Amino acid sequence: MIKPQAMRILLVEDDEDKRHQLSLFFVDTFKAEVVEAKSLNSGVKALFSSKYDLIVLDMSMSTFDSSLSDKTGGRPQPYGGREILMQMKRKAISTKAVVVTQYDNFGQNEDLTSLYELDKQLKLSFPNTYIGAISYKGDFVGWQSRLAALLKKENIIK
Amino acid sequence: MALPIVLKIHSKYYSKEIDSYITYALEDFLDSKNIRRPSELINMYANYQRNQLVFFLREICVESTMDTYTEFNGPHDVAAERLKICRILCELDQPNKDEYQEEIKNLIRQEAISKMLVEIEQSRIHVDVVKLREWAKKDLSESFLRYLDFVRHGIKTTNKSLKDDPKAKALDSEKESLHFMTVPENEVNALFAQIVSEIRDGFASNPDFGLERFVSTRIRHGIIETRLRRPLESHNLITKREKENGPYKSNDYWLSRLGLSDQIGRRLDQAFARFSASYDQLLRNIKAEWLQVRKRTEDKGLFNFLISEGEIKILSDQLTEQSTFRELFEFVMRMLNEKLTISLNEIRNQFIKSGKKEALDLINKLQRSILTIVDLDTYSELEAEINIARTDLQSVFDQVIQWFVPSQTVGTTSYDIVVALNVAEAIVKESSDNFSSKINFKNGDASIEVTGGLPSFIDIFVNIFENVVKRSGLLIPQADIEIEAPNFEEKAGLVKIAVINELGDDIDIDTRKGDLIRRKSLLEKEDYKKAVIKETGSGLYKINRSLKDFKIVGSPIDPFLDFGIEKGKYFISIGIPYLLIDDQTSSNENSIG
Repeated sequence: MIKPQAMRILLVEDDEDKRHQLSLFFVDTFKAEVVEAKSLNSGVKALFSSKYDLIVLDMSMSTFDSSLSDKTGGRPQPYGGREILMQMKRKAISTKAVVVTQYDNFGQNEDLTSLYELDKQLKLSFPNTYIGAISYKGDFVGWQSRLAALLKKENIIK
Repeated sequence: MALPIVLKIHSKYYSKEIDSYITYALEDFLDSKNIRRPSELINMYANYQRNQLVFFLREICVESTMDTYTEFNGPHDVAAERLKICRILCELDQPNKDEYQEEIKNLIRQEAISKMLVEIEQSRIHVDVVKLREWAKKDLSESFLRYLDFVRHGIKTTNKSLKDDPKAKALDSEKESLHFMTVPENEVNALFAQIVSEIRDGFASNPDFGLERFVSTRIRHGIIETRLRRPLESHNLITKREKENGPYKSNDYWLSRLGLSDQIGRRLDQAFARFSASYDQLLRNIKAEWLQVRKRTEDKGLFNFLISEGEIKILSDQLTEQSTFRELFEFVMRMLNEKLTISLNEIRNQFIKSGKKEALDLINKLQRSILTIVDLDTYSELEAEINIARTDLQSVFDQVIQWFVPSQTVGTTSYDIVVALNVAEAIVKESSDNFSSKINFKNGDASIEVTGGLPSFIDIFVNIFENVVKRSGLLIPQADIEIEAPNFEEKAGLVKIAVINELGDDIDIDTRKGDLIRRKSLLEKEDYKKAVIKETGSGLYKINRSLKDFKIVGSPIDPFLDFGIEKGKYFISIGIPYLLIDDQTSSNENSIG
């Protein structure tokens, strides 16, 4: 009997606690194999280096992983998640992607966009890959059932 | 090459909406030429019009475009590539050479600062082993020789009273009678244990060269609190006490921004005050319970240098009658370094499992508390700031965890004084970003390179700059630095650096002058050793101590420190001795050894 392969998920998230919570959720609930990336740069590299069943993206992140020599990780990327979706489109990667974010607004000044508006824009720009956005509140676990419901609706999980 | 150029022109003159496509076009162009980086185009220049190539390298191959190209591994990698490109542009675009050279200078300076910051971060845990060895040899050799005497006479491990040992009586009568008269039971083992304990005490807590000195100066003296508070202060989630042990200041920022009723405003303010108090208690616990040196069972601290009787026995068993003091010292150092490594591991684990977790729990508790006080619209304004602060807090704890590694060898690094001053400024700006310094050379620009003592140099100026921030009473603290470079005609002399700052209107100058006179008197009497280990105060004692690290053996000139108030301004002047090590250097570039 061939054992079904575990679902492979790429998780791109710079907040360590949130990354841990999400990873735990996918492993415990779906027995998934989770590949973690902490920045735009390492996220895109991981994206190009392997195949996944699902991409889970933070929206705002740093350009690079932070290190001893650069604590900030380079420029902040307020729309880093969108940048990864663009890279997926550019390289014809059709894996489904979901955004899980703590923020209700992104960018600054004229660039300021609400999560609601951003969700609409992403659905228009990436109709074949982007499936939706989930608002994450670390202390409250409602996000787990909303995320599971979305993945079920998109037939990514049974 | 045309596509990235067209996209760049669109971005520059029309809209930045499609800026991401510039990076993609750059990447596709380089791919089409089978190269990975723009600097590799050097072999293909003949294929392109010069003005196109210059525009491409100058305007498109910039850090903000290249950093999202996955060929690069980090900001330093990107900066290194931009440096290569600027050097190429100096050749290709001669009329604008000055502009590229200025950019090259800034890039090199930023890289030097960045490299130095890493060295400083990795040198917080330090013991001056050279000075420890010198001191131990001077103070403990004689005791060791006495111990070896006992060993040679075969009375190392006996528990019997010497009176009962006929063999002992038969030996050299003068020495034996001396031993007989002055050596009680187990005196030999006690003597050996004493020697080992004294080396341990020197290693762990000597105020001149021991671990305690450096942990106090480079971590406990305000630095760890400043670093760990910074993410919360940036988002106005934490306030300070009005005075020592007093109540916490009101969180005026959020109270005025949210425009709440008195009752709700009061409840919110209390939530912030409770959070501030709890978080500061966490930081106090870290300093008092973790970051202390433990030599006795009753001591607190995770720098654990308790030595058991078994360990003493193992050490003594490694020695023979022919052993030298140097060998003993090396054995003890090996043991102490192992204990240090274990301690650092334990501290890192504590930060990961306990410190960081507790900090996150506190911020989550604050968030839950706020949710019960304000309505949802008001809450969402705060929520974004709390979320960013939470992410930044984790990052800052990770940075602090990296401090607890054995010190890297930085003793022989050469560095430019101006760059090192920039590093000290950068460190202070991490917590006080409105601080700035201005450097002037009193007698014409000079490049002065120092060899060795970088961490101590940084310690001195971080202390000085922090004093300007904390004690000047200025809203926008600024330090004017005056460097007096000697003309280096003499083989030995001093490089003098003065830091001057204005004082705020609220400063009582007479009281301050009195305080400074008192401190000067203590320094002159050298009556400040305990103050070096304490974490409060202006750090003048610590500055003085760090300055002594620049004493050059064989030089008649000592480092000096002077400070006071003149014409309403505070000044602190230091003199760093130099000794010329190469007579062939040019008149404006000299090494201080």
